[in-house]
Parts: sequence; C-alpha cells; structure tokens
Amino acid sequence: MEFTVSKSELVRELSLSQGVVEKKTTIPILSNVLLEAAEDRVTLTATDLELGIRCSCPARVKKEGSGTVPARKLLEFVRLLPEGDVNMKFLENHWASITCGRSRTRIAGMSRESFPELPATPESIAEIPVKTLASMITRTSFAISMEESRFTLNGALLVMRPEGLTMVATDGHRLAFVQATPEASGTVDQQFRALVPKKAMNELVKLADDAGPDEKALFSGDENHLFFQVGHRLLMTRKLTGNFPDYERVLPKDHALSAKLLKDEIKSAIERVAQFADERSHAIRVQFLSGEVRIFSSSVEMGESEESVLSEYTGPDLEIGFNAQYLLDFLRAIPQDHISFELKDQKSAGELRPAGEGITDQYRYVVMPMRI
Amino acid sequence: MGRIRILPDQVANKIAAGEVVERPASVVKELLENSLDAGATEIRVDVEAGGRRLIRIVDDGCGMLRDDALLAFERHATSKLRDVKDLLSIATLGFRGEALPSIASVSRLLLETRSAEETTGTRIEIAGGKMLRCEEAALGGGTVITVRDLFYNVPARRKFLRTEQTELAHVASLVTHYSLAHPDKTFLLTSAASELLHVTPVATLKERVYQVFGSQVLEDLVEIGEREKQLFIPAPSVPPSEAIAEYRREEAGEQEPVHAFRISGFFSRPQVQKANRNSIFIFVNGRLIRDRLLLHALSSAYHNLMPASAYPFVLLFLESDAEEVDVNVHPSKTEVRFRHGSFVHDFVRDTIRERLMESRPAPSFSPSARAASAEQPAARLPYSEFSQMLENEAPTAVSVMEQPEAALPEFSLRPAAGPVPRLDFSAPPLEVTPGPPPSGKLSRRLDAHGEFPAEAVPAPEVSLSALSDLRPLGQIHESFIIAAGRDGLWIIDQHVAHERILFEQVMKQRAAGRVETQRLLLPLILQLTPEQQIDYARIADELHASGFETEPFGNRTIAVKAAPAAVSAAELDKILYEILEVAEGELRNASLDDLRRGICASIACRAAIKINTRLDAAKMEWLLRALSATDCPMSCPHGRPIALHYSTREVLKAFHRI
Ligand SMILES: Nc1ncnc2c1ncn2[C@@H]1O[C@H](COP(=O)(O)OP(=O)(O)OP(=O)(O)O)[C@@H](O)[C@H]1O
Ligand SMILES: [Mg+2]
Repeated sequence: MEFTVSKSELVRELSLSQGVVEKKTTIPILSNVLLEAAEDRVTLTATDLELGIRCSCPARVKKEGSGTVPARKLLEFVRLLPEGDVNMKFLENHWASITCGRSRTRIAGMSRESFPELPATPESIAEIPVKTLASMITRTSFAISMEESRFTLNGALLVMRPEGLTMVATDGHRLAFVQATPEASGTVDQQFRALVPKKAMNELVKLADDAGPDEKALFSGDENHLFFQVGHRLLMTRKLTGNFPDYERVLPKDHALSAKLLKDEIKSAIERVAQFADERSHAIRVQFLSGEVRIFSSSVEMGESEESVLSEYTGPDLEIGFNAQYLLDFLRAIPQDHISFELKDQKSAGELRPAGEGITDQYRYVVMPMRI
Repeated sequence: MGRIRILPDQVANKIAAGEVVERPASVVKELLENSLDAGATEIRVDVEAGGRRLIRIVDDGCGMLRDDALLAFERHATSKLRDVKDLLSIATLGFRGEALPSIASVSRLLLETRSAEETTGTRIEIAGGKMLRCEEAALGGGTVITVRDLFYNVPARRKFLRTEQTELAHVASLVTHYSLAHPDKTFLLTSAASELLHVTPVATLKERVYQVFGSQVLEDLVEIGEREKQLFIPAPSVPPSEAIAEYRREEAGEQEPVHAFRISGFFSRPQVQKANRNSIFIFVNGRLIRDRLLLHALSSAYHNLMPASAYPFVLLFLESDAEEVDVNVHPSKTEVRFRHGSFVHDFVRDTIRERLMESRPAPSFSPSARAASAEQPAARLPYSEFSQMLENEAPTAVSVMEQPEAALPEFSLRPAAGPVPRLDFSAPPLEVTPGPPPSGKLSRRLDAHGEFPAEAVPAPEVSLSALSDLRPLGQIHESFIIAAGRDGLWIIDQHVAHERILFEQVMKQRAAGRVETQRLLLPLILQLTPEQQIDYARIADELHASGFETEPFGNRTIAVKAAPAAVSAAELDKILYEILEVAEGELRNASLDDLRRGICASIACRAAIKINTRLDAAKMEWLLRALSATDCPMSCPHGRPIALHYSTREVLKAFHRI
C-alpha cells in the first residue's frame, strides 16, 4: 500500500479516532488505527469493540492495500510535520514508512488481519440534522448515571415520534428531556426507539462540531448496533440493553407554583453558596419567598453561606432542599437568559425550564428534592 | 508465733468453694501465686510430661516457719486473711487457704522451706493428703514445692487431662503471663531440661514484652501508658458478694470514698488480627483473670477498626482499690466482680479507643525485612487456659452489660485537641541515619537475648497524623495512592480511605439527626425473601432514620422513595440487600448501636470512590487531608488497613545504605 495525503486532512481525521481507540493496552491491536487505501481515498478505522469510527480523506493512491499503526503515536508524529503532503507506505513485517519533505520515518505496525471486522452499515431509516442531535445531547448527557445497574442506564433514550425527535436521560435523581420540533427533527422513514451509550453521544458531539451547519446524520441500526453516518464519517456503537424508566410518568403534568429567574444571577448565586455545601451531597436549601429566592448552605467544618436573588414568585413561602450540582448542570447547559423554576411542595419534583422568547423546542429538567 | 491461722467457719463459709485443681496448669497457678505472695523475686518452674509427672516451683520468698508449714496443709489455713472484713479488700493473690491442701490431696507433694527467722528449714512429704514425713532439714532460704504424679489417686481426673503438649502449653501460657505482670522478677520455666522461658528483671513492661515476645510483636503494639480515672459518684451497681453486702449493711451511712482506677499495658495495632481471644490477657490488681465485661470493653474499643470475627493482642493491667473488686467469686479465683462494672467497662473502652486515635498507628511493610529478635518458645505455644474457656461464647452487648445501653455514655471519637505545634523553619533538618540508641532510659541486664539491640527499639512511632503533610505522587492500578512524606513512602488504599472519611461523616450526621436524603424520581421496588422480610421489619425504623425512606408495597415487596444523599441510585438495590444480609447474619443479635454502625458502614462503602478510578492530584490531596482529619485513619469500618508506611529507614536498609 502506498498513498499521499494532505497533512492537515490526515491530522483532522486521525484526531476523530482518538476518542475511540482503546486507552488501556489490554488488547494491543485496539490501540491501532486501520488504514485502507482504495481508489482515491484513504479510510481510517478505530474501535474499542464498543464503539467504532470510520473516517476518510482524499488521497493519491499509488498502490491499494491496508495496514495498522498505533493511532496515538501516528497522530502525535504527523501533527509535528510541516504543512504539505505526507506519503505513507507499508513495508514488510507491518512497518509503515512516512515521508514528508526531508523527514523519513518508520513506524512499527501490526498485521491487518488481527484488526476486528466492523459490522456493515444497514439502510438508513432517518436523516437527522447533526446540530439538532448535538444540542439534544449536550442538554441531556450530564444527567446520565455514572454506573449501569438494574435501574439506571449508562446512556440516553432516543425516540423518533411524529411530535418530533426526543432524547431523555436520567440517573434516578433527575431527568432531562428534550423534544425537538418536527421541522428540526429531520426526515424519518419509520418511528424508532434506541438506547444510545454515553460514550457514543460524546463522539457524536465531536463529529457535529466538525460538520457543516446543515449536515445530516444518516441513522440506522441492526440487531446489536446503531450507526450514525455524518458525511464521510461513520460512528457505530453497540446498543445498550435494558429498560429505560417510564419517563412520561416522571414528567410533572402541572405545577402549582412557578418562580421566574435570571439565569446568570441564580447560577452565580448557587455557585458561591455551594462552596459551603457538603462535598459529596452538594445539598443546598432553596427558599421561595414573595419576590425573591434565597439559597443557603452550611457545613459544620467550613462555615455557611446565604444569598438571595430577585424573582417573580407569588406563591406561598416554601423551602426545598436540592443538590446544587444538579441545578448547576442545567443552568450551564442552556443558552437562554431566563429560566422558570416550577414546583409543588417539599416532596415533589421540581422542574427547570428555559424561559423567554424564541424557544422552539421543549426542554424540561426534572429534579427530585433532598431532605436536609 | 506462726503467721498462719485457721479461718473461723463463719469466714470460711463466705468463700467461694469448689474445685481448685483441674489440671497441671492450675497447680502451677496456685503455687506461682503463693510464691508471688511470699515476695519472691526469682521463681523457677520445672515441669515434666506437661506437669503430669512433675511440677517443681522454687522461689526465694519469705519461706515458712516450721509450725506454719504444717498448718499450711489444713483447709482454710492462711496467713492472708483474718476476718470477714478482710474479704472486702483482698490485696494478695491467695486468700482461701485452700490451694496447698487441695494439691496435696491429689498428688505426692514435697515441701522444702525455710524462713529467714529460723536457722533450719522444714521438709514435709505428703501423698494423697496423708502426711508421710516431717523433718528438720538444712535448707537455703525460700520455698521449693515438688508435686509428682498429679491425680495418681484420682483416675477419673487423670482421664480428662489432654495431651502432654496441650497441658504444657497451658502451663507455659500461665507462666508467661505472670512474667508479664512482674517485669521486676526473674522467671524461668523449663520442661524436661529445655528452657521455655527465661526472663531477668527489667525496669519496664515494654522491656519485658520485648524479652518475651521479641521485637516483631513489640512493633505491632501500642503502649497504653499510665491512665487514671477517678470514680466520684459511686452508683449502686452490681451487688458484691454476700459477705460484702452484709458488711456494708453494718457500715451503712459511712461516707463514700473516691476511688481511683488505673490502667496500663499494651494493645495491638488494628491490623494485627487474631482468630481468637487467646492473645488477650487481663490482669486485675495483678491477678490474671477472664472477664466478659472487660472483653466486651476491648472489642467495643476496636469496633469498626477490625472485623467482628478478629481479636487484638491485648495486655491489660487494671489497678484499683481492693474494695472495688470482689475476687471472691469463683473457686479458681479467675473471675472478679467489679463494684462499678459499667464505669470500669467504659474507662477501659474509652482509654484504649483514645490511645488508638492518638497514636494512629501506621502499618508498615514487610515486617520480615526488619531485624527480628525471636520470641521465647513459651510465647509460641498455642493455648491459653484463660481465653480458651470463653472461645465459643462471644460476649454480646446485652449479656455483658447489666445496665441498659442507654445508660452508657456516648463517647466521642475525637481525641482531645492538644495545642497546635508551632512550625519552626530553623529546626535542624531531619536526621536519616539512626542516632545512638536512647541510652540510660532502659536499664539493661543480661537475659536470654543478651543486650537489648538498638534495632529492637522501634523507631519513634510513626503516626498516621503524618498523612496531612503527604505529597501524593500518583496512583498504582488507579487504586492505591503513592505518597511521599517526611519519613519515607506511603501507600493508601483510596477506596477504604474514602470509606473511612464517609463513615465518620455519616455517623456524625446520623448522631446529629442531620441525615441528608435524596428523593428518587421513581420509587425503587425491591422483592424480599421471607427472611429478608423479617429482618426488614426489624430494622425498618433504623433504616428510616439513616435516610432510607421505604414502605411496604404489597407482599414481600418494598418501595424505596428516598435514600441517603451520598448513595447513587444505581447502587441502591445493592446496598439495601447488603444491609439486610448483614442484619440477618452478623448483626442478628446486635444492639441498636451496632446496627446503626453497620448501616453507616454500608452507606460509606457504597458511596466511596471505587478502586480502578483515576484521581487527579487535587482529589488525591483532598483525600489525604480529609483522611488525616478523621478520628481513625488506620482502618476502614470493616477493619481493613488504609495506609501502609515504608520508612526512610527501611528504604535505606533495603538499599544496604545502613
Ligand atoms: N511459696 C510460699 N512461700 C511462703 N509461704 C507460703 C508459700 N506457699 C504457701 N505459703 C503459706 O501457706 C499458706 C497456705 O497456702 P495456700 O495456697 O494453701 O493458701 P492461700 O495462698 O493463703 O490461699 P489460696 O487458697 O487462695 O491460695 C499461705 O497463706 C502462706 O502463708
Ligand atoms: Mg495460695
């Protein structure tokens, strides 16, 4: 195999594979990237057996063929090369030679045969604007539980319904729900429901960052995998199995009370007060009073803090405990300036939503209170 | 005039009566105690065939006058007690006047004794209780008692003796323990001409421990030091034996005196874990005893520092006014009754616990790497008569405490805060090469080990307080933090370290009723087995108070609506099943307090950082600081060690630099 590519394009594609290559070197071949030269492109594939990514860039292929080299080392090295063309050639015994300008290098690779075979991509069933997908992910992924168990999943639920594309994530304490408008949801051939692992969601956001504003993700799935094709890049992931909690039951139907707040005000106030909350539970007390919201925290060892922000609130006085981190996750994830904090009583879920003009999609964030 | 009197019946009847001689070790015990009562400074014990063929005790005590020597074999003949009043404050080991006649009735006994007041000595020979010979003899000062063919005339008893090896082990353990109680005396124990124990007088208990057990054991021990506590308001508690009750009635109305209790001795670091109580030795006013109350006090001192099934090594000396302890409880004098049992219990528990906190002993690596001096053969023999009898009956809180536990004062885990040491920049740099051994402090005499070697003096005790100025260097296997300290290298198990931090936090919150709970989006439904259902019903209130809001939800099903804030929802089912399992097993008969600790320990374990978790430098630093601020940074609530220390000295040694 021998081909020539532009250094900057090679670096860009290689960077995308870094999040996927296996970090622990338990199976050495998984820290390698597979390079395949055919026709006028070179294709790069990386996988950790949970997730796989396949990218490609144009190349002048002198001799078709394939081989593998350590992904990290290759990127680190190529990045340092001067701008321009890079020539790559596989030699005997899996050595790869790289020539660029006056630089000549050989990297030890491994046999292509030991690289795992990735599943074939099925026919796509939906075309989703990548920007929609990414914005849904960034507003839900923080609510995904760290561990997987019988009751929580290390991933989010993606549902396509006539009302629009929906993504839901929860860790049992809070739940984030986003539903895009039908227009922003793209086109679908059939309704579906899929559980997307958190790691795949992170990689999808990276793909979206690097894609054009109107680019679409072609979505498909087979029995065990999900596939997202964005331009000439393909992300595939194993499906999560398990039952996603019945989120419809969790979303409050109505709230008696509502407080309107300025996001930046409440966010900074919570950030400061939370410095004195318990290091692990992050517990703060939130008091809803006529015209204001007060936040308190105290820790025996460190001290205590209190802050008040103005709010349009007309309900009865109410004090509820919350995990400050949970509230901040939401406040940091939205671009809007206003929020509404909706509640019922001390024991019922509180709900946060962005408020104000120009909000088209539905974003609901449900947080269970704490008893402090 | 002789010293020995026959006790009047009215006194003799007040004395706990029963079998005195059960086995060779009980003979040795009685004779040894007599020698100690006689003020001996050198005691030699020879046995053959585990004491079945021969027991000989040679002492340099006061000896006996001719008349006394004859009288000594009468029942209730003693020089140590006069009337009923003396029973209240027994200061000698013997008091019944029972031992010699009992021994003489089941063996062939030869007594050779001479008192300093007489120029010739006395030789008396008795077999099966019958006097065979009594003659004047030219003897040195002191007493020699030779007991041959024990139980030769009581075949039934002989049948119950164990193997020679077992009986010898009992004897050895007994002599060893008495040698620990008297560091200022010489003890020699031989069996068929081989020396099992030979210790010469030393100034401190520490040196005696070294003589007996060697340096390795000593390094695993923490010295209690001398602790004293006054009892001001004597609550009417355990009724003392009848004799005392009677006496007190007579003396009613008298002003209650103030009593002082003192304890001293050694206890092991929590990582020394023995499978049974054989390494717990308790002396009350110089008497080796077994006592459930004190055993319980010890195990509660180690609570959550050691697994429930493990026992420490403890050498405990409790001293008090003689009136505070009734020794006239059991014919073998191996049990006592405290007039203020719960005071003594709490004093012992709190003192040991405080010392554990203060010293924060750090386990170190590879004890084999150190120059280990060997223990005495006797210390290696496996049995101890005193602990063995209790082996299968673990004292429970309920059975031991006469008072309801509510009456036990809640003790604080925090050591009394001393003045903060002033930092000094001009202090000389740390010395890495060991200085000369601290001289003068230890008075040395030649003993079985020769000189007390410099290495045997443990380096200035490494305390886990040093954790606060450790510099984390990184992790191994994303599980153990490696840190550099002022003196060497430390390895800290990140999970158990965090577990300890959280455990104390959770306990404090629980005690203050400030449990933080997090409600769940959807109740968690758990299926229970019938056994779990029973345990659930038993502990439901405590679960609730610990932050688990649960409700019965149909048949053998519970719904969990809220949980302690530190526990993630993903762990909830596991932790609840775990708590139920523990409640069903080891905490089946536990007190409420133990149950609470068990639940807190489960919460801490589930909420703690797992192993195989990468930590950044800031997190590691936080963890070490928080750990050093805990009350017990040496072991996790389940008793596993948290930190290992590899001292600069050990490093230098390993590199052959010293
Ligand atoms: N080794 C000894 N040296 C000097 N006197 C002794 C020695 N052994 C025994 N005696 C004397 O003999 C007496 C009787 O001893 P014995 O052991 O039978 O009774 P006791 O020690 O007074 O009480 P107990 O039965 O509780 O041991 C003692 O009171 C003591 O005066
Ligand atoms: Mg005696």
